[in-house]
Amino acid sequence: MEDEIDKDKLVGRREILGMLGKTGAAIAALLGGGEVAQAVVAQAQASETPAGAVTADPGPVPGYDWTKHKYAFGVDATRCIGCLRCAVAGKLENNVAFDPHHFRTWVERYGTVDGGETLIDSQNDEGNIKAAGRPDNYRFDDRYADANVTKAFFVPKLCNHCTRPACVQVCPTGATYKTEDGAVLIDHEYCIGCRYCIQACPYGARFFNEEKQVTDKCTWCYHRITKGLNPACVEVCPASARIFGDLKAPQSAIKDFIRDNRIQVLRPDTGNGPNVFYIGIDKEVL
Amino acid sequence: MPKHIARFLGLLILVIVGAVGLRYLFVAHSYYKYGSYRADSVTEISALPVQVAPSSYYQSFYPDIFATWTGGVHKAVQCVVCHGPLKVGATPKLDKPQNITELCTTCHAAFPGRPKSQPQVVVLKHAGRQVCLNCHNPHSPLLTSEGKSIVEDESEAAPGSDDFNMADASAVAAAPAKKKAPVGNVVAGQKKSLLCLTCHGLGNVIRGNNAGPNLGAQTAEHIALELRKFQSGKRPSVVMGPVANGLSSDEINDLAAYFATSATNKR
Repeated sequence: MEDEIDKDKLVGRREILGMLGKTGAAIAALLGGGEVAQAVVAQAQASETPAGAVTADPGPVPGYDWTKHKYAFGVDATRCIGCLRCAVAGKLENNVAFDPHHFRTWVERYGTVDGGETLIDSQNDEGNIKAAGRPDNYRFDDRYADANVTKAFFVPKLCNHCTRPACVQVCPTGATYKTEDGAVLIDHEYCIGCRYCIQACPYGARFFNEEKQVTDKCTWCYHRITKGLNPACVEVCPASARIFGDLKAPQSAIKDFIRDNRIQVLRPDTGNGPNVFYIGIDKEVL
Repeated sequence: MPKHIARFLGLLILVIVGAVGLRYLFVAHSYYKYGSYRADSVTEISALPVQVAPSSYYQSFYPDIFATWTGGVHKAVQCVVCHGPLKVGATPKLDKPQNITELCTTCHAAFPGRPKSQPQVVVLKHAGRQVCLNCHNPHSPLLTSEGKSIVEDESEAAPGSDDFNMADASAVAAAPAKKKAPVGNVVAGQKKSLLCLTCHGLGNVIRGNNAGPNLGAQTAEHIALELRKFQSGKRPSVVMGPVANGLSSDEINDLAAYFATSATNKR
């Protein structure tokens, strides 16, 4: 009867592979007696595990397994009301200078008057700075009040946390990198402020922190998402134009968003493989 | 072994030991752990403090206001949006926003680009120089600060169109003042709601085709009242009129109950 096989005496595939590896290393050690072979044996012994157990490294964040998550972000431009609360929340959460030129996330307005050329403005535009009045306040002015607007919409933007990020490739010190769960982060201790990454980013997502002399950008609020919270901009968005979620979770808002909509990414031609997915944007949006 | 070879080997060993030693001293020990970056920096970044608190944090400190807020149409607007960043303490005191009209018009000033579903006003036409809070309760803007409807009588409201209309929306709040909230069967309502979801969606749980307003953050009173207005022809609509005519009074209550309980505007 097959049921009566003593499972403890069976040798698993992993064990056989492990034994093969160790035997090979031992032979190599006997033949060459070199350090390399010994190191291989030591490594094989270190990784020896009970059959069937998976011992993936849970990563450097205590109490959080980064191999079990893969994050993505969705932006529904048809819902964005251009209130810029996301920009404020991103600054509050991450101690970004309150001025109109440094943003972790921002919103752009695309307007077409009389079917002509599409005009783009953001909160660093002079008219909008004037409308805001204070450096800690951001708002869009009503510049199209008397115009015949044929089309207008808002597009929230942020770091795309690309699959093949150009910014990581150009960093000379390894200060910026991609984590296992999908975020692109910056190590401010290793950043030398050379700003190559600012130039490399096709989305203009990075800015220079003059005070600390390092580059900064959106981290999807990595300190929040590793604790199970949403990024600050998603948390505050009153129109639910921002969607964040885990692609590896059995069910998540972002999986539904990607499944149910005809999604787009910004500048796919650059080959960076962005992970922020948009709906409701026109071809003018870059 | 010839002397010059021995010297060369000695020098070679010295250089190797020196290089390894310097690398040990100057490269962070977690550097190549997961890739060519410092693994400790991930730990450091993930340990940063949370500044923007979820609104539920304030529930125990402001139970009354919290209840008003969750029961109203502003429940998608988190505390931090108007009151600023996280305040921690025995009773965290939230800042009162200074310039109210500026704050409200941040989201509700009418201008091109804002989606149709967003209630928008031209302030001078809507309220003249009055402050928004003269009429609206900021935590539930379809009510006054005293908790009454912002329009005294339902009949005062102008008949609306299918587009969002402030006067029309404000009429809604008359309902809870006059009669009790409709009591309906949630399960029956859910079965009946499939038709509604095509156009309206359900918050962000189910996405509609944007033909109708989002029912995600809606109260039972509002849905029941509006459906009855469609039925009676008080609010004329080519689309919703026939739909509402096919509903019995119980079915209206069921639908209202369903949308009020299961609907959420948060993803």
